[in-house]
Amino acid sequence: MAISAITVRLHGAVAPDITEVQITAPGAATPTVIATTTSRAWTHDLAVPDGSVTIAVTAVGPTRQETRAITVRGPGAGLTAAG
Amino acid sequence: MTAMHQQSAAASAPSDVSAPPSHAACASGDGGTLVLAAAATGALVLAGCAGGGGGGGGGDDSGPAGPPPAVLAFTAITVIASSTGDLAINGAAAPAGSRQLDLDGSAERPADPGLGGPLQAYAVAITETGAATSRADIVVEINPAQAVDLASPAVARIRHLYARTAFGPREDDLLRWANLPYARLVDALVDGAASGPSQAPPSWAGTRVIPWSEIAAYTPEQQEALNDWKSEAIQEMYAWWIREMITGPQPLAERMTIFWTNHFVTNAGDLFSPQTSWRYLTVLRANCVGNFKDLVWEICRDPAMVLFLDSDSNVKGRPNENFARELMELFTLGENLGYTEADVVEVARCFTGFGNTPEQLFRYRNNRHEEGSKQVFGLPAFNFYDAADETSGMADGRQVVDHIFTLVDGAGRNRVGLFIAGKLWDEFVGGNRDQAVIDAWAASFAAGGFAIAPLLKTILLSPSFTAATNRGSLVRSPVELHVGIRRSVRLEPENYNGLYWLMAQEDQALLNPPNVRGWIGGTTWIDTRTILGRREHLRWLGWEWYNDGDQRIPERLDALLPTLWFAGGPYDLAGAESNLPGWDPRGGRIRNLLVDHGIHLK
Repeated sequence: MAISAITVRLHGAVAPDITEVQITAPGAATPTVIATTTSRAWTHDLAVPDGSVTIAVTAVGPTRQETRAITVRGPGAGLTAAG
Repeated sequence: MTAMHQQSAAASAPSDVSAPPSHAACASGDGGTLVLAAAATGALVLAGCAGGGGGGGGGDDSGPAGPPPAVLAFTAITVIASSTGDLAINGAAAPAGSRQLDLDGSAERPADPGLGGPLQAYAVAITETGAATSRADIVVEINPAQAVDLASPAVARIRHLYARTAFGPREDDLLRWANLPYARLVDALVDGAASGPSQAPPSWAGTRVIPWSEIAAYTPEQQEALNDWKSEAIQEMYAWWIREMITGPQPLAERMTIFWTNHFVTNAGDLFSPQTSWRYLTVLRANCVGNFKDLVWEICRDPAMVLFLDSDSNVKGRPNENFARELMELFTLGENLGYTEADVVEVARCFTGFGNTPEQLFRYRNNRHEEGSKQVFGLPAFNFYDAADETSGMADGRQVVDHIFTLVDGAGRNRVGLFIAGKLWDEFVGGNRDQAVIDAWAASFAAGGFAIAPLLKTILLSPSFTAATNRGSLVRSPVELHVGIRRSVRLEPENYNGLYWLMAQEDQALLNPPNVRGWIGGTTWIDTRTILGRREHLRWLGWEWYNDGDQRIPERLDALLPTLWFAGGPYDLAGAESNLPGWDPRGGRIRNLLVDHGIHLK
């Protein structure tokens, strides 16, 4: 038996004036637009790679924009290691 | 124009200037209420409005009001793993294969450090329990130390685009766009420039300008109070605009508006009418990437331009050629290109009757308009004047604008297209003009009905603009320099009017170009005086931002600073790393970067 896949679900919140949250991942030609709930919360699932991946999360509002980075570092090839 | 010139211009109110409305005027910046003696129009009440509106006070020494609320925050991480065995995540059983880790501020799970905060890493250990022994360790990093690949060609191109069109990049500009197509960034920048500003206008922006005839009845004390108010309101307008440049979401809009204030030149200090200059600024900003022909027609009827070029005195029988000449020479065709001296006279006749009301609103007066036939550019004669229709003669002016935009040179090239495409080449590409490229831009500009946004996109996507050899080869204007450095690290000045003064000392007093031709720009920004001023002002900035008690630049940006501040890199990065014995190395490095000569290039 082995751990076969890992996903990281990012949870966040945005200010009331923010109208859109965009996720940009390496190799993507367009950002992924994710919806926010009425409580201004959002989530995004990110498959954990063998190596590492950095995504940009952008909050877009009519008068301001802000981009934050998240890096997820995986456990290495095969995802498993003798514990 | 120097700050001294600016001050003297502001201090000497010309006879045709306007005054603020009585209900909105401020006598001083102390917020007190001052009631002046009754004037011809009744009591003039200068109610306390020292704080002004739109986030800036008269004179605006307030600076930023504290950290803004979080725009975007990370609140939790859920780890979801698949296995045929039982799982534990960070030591706690996860029977469904998942566990949510709230970033609750505990020692184990510190809260999101926020934009500009330090790297925060969250380690997660996933283990199979029971008979299984496998384990996976992952790490989630918020604000990762190396989120931007500085060696990436994409990052270099983004940096170049922002340096030339948007004062310079921020870290999050690089983060956001590094993985997306360059064309998409160009679209976003240019299309976004059509958006309105992020700040509310100053409180006095739409208020009535007091006619000079009313001001003439004021006591000397009342007139002095009005002049004080005007000076403070104008300062507030400068601060408003610089704040928009540093903190606003559409830097290209501000950059293009600067370009147009240097194309359709007026002088806020000379006009000394804050509402009129505000209206002018608003027109330019609203049309900064709109339609150039529409913008020209707006300018023909803009009260600030009417004041600045004496259109009010252009009346039948006594044409004043000021506006007519600049319309062709500076606004649309270029000096001595496509028009004659006879055309100047005829165009002036077409614009007779264009003027302002005593409250400095545009008005056309048919009884001041030339009644006879007009002929310009060798085209068929026309005359829209009709004594029975009080607005009819305005169409003569509109006809001139329409004709100008149809003019072509001997090679069949649209003259307005050539003129504007050439100016935009100088502004954004620089160096020797590639006439074949400019010809193509001009043709597409004319074919597109003189829409500015498509032309800008064409320019910013062109190899002439994006070429690696074209990077770091132009001189930043004082505004690009100071706004760009502050914008890149999200640090507002403590005193916006102080920043305006610094830039004026370096020969760029916003909204006050030195003459009707505007700033020449390019290498003329640098001379033996201004380079010393720039260096001194940046040295002050280094001390402001980094001394023992005040370290305002987030440490995690240290590695990025050369990328954010330098289009071509510092000349002496090794020197930037060196320091005097006993100095704090980090502060020394920041200060050395700020005074490196490479920082003046874009």
